[in-house]
Amino acid sequence: MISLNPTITQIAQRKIAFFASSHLSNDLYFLKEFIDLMINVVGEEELIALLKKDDGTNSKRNNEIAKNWNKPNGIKKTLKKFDKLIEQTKSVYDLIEDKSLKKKEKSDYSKLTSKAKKISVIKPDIYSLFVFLVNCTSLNRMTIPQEYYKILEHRGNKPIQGFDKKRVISSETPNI
Amino acid sequence: MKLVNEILNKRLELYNEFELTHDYIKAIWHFYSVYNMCLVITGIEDKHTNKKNMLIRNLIGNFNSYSYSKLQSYMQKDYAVINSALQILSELKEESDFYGDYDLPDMIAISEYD
Repeated sequence: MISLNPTITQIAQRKIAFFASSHLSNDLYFLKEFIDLMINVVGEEELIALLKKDDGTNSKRNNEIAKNWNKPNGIKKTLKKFDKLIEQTKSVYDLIEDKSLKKKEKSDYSKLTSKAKKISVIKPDIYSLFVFLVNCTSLNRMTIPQEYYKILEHRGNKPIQGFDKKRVISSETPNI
Repeated sequence: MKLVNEILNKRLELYNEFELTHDYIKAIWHFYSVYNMCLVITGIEDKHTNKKNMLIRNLIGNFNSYSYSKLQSYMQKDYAVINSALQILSELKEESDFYGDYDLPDMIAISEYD
């Protein structure tokens, strides 16, 4: 297992939190950012060697990724193509998710959907690389701090944190 | 697999929430993100990837009940993959006894409130 520097761990955890709590291609943007970061941290050649050695339940897919890494249909080219599509959608997504009180145009929403529909949601190869990178590093045994998920609260969704234990306890205690 | 398990649970929670609020496109997006990770955990290969991707693209562009009902028939089968992945993760959790984090010999108490 590769142990990560605390600063890198924190950055990686934030990216994963954003990935887990957003949607419509914004999540894929953070997924791609995480993969890029980890490839640079682990090292491309070492990652290929680790993928080749993998003998888990998903070993077949991981070994194929390692084999075809630099080939025209390999994961490296796929990630580059993926990057272009995601950057186009991300810019439109940011316009809509802008927290200022500026009125959002209806055309912005249709722009987002027209860009997002170009992205295929089911991509086992990229997710395979993501899961492998999480599992081969010290991130594997960690959890993501709850405050990293707060991106959702600011955007009007229910907080994921669950119920407030202090409030529940105080309501259960009888009034004296 | 502890972190992967956490991501899966968060996304399933969001899927459930968006489905309840009738935001079907976001719900589908979260569902298939979970499904992607479950395919990796179980090592299963999906032969209908292209068909499903096409249906999802159609729905994002123009939501219609015909494509949605077709996709729902796939989703019902895909639940089995998600279920088996969650089972694998829970077995791993039992085997490694909470991933070995809480039984460190020098540990006196758990510092977090939760």
